[in-house]
Amino acid sequence: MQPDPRDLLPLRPVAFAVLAALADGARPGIDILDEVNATVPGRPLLGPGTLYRLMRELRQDGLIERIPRGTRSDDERQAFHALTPAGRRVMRAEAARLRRTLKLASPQGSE
Amino acid sequence: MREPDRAVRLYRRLLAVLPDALRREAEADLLEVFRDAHARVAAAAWPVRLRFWMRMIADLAVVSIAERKGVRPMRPFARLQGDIRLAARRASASPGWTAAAAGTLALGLAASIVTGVLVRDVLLAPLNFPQPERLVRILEVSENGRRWWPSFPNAAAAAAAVPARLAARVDPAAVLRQE
Repeated sequence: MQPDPRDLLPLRPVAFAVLAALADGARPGIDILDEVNATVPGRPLLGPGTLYRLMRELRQDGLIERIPRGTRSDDERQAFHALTPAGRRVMRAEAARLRRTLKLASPQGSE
Repeated sequence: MREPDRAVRLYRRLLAVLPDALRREAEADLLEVFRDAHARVAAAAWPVRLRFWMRMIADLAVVSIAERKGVRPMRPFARLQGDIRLAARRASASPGWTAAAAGTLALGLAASIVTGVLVRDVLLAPLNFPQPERLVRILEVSENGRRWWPSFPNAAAAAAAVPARLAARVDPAAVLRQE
């Protein structure tokens, strides 16, 4: 039986940003770093070390996986990271939760 | 040696601040992301590169502390930033109280510093002479016990006035040099 994605909600903004950055497919670490720094407001920016710890936690939760170096033709030097099916479910559940929250916060009839 | 190689070597050295287990498992990933990030600023002006390195160092420091304490990863300094913002807002809301608090703090700091300097210079620091342990104080004592500072025409006369049992410890030549 698959675990309920709602058990992991709410996600922290940085964790959600990492999952969202991988929504369109596997990406290398530097792209994820750029995406998270561009979408999560506030400073200072995330660095490689903080991103690594965050992604390690998401891997341990089974939300993302690493595609080893050399298995993609794009760049043999880089390791890519991708969403797992569980990660995609959690990302969608978090997006739905945020949409509901936004709806609650919006004045009636403004949407 | 090419600049990127040097930067990567320096970053690899900085990784020494991380706990051993994390450094072993993460080194390849961290170097990869660092290399890509550094490539973007390698040709930039020095303030940009300086900011980049400060960000890298702060990131490793935060990760090192968080890993040792088992803190969940989050944006570095997020809580500290919030605290500072809250303090600034409250301070600007009541300027009189803030000025009084700052003045009290400044007075306290100044008093502490002055006390510390006095204790150091008057009580702890050696006298400003070579071999200060060899200095002697010469006093004349009358029969009724009254003491006063004798006056000597020169240092040699002062040295001659020293009792014989102390004379070996007084070097008139050294006294003359100080005169």
